[in-house]
Amino acid sequence: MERERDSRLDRLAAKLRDEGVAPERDLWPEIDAAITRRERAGLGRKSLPWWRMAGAAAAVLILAVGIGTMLPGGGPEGPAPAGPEVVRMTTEPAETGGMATLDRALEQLEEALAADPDNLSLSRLVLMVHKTRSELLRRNLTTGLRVG
Amino acid sequence: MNGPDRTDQRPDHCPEAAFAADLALCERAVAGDRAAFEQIYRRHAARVHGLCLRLTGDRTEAEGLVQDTFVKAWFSLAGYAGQGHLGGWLGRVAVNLWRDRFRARNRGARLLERLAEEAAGDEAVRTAAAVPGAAAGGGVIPLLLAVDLERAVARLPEGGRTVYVLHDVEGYTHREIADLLGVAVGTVKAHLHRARRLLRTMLSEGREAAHGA
Repeated sequence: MERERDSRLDRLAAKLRDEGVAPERDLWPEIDAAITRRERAGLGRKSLPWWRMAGAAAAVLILAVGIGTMLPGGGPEGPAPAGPEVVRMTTEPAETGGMATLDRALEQLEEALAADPDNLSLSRLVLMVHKTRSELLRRNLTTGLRVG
Repeated sequence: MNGPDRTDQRPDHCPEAAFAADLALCERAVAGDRAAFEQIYRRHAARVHGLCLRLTGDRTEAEGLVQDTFVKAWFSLAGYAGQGHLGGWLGRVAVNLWRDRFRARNRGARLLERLAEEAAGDEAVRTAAAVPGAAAGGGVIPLLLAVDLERAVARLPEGGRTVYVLHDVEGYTHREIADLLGVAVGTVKAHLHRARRLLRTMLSEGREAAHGA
């Protein structure tokens, strides 16, 4: 009986949360006015829109996966054969603006992190972009030496 | 202006549809569309107000907290990354603001005193449960309504009410509540247990009163 009553209480508690209690008066006009006051006082909105960050993250991931699969031994087929074909593929990201994309993503992510410094996921993402960028630079340098 | 809040545009019954609608509104609001943000307010005001009312135990204070929550949300909506429901995110904004006020007014110390008082014995439980009309509304346990529980929660001692609302209603973990209030996890568990028992007592008394009537 106690258990049954507890589960009923739990369901009711969830109902309390979801249904809420409507305010007795409309609070929107005061909220609207407060927002306007703050904006006029020059208190802007912080951080980047999340979909811009998501876009930056997606660009980084696509590049990272692309670079990973192009690395010798990075793809599912095992070590790639050395030779002109590998050289052409590994220089491709830089030629197609991969580095510029990474730089843009990094700029956006760092801006977002500055606005939300406690965001662990963002910190990890920034770190990952730095690593990806370093890897791309290293590979471009290596292939440049090999082409040269 | 002084009439009941127009919170008729409640979140859709289908969770996926509600989520999609919230995301679309968020996208517009982040782009600066104040009308879209007003719709967000109308969809979630009742939930946020209910939470604020349970946390503060005071209607005026709750209204102020609701206003601050939505103002804060407007300026940091970009931080809502579409992970989880918007209502939950707004709830966290409200809880964080409440916690800041709580600390600023040194109510933390008062709450700790209350927690200690409540822990001093079950007399507090019996006393609170004996408040006339504790389950006003005639809640019979098998036919309990959310409103009965709402009334009973409002009559809980402050410490027990805070812990119960954060844990059983809002879904915070023991650890999160302990961190919010600056108390030990064991203290949170003890007060949650006591609050639940007190609620059952109040609701049972309501049932007996209903049978006796």
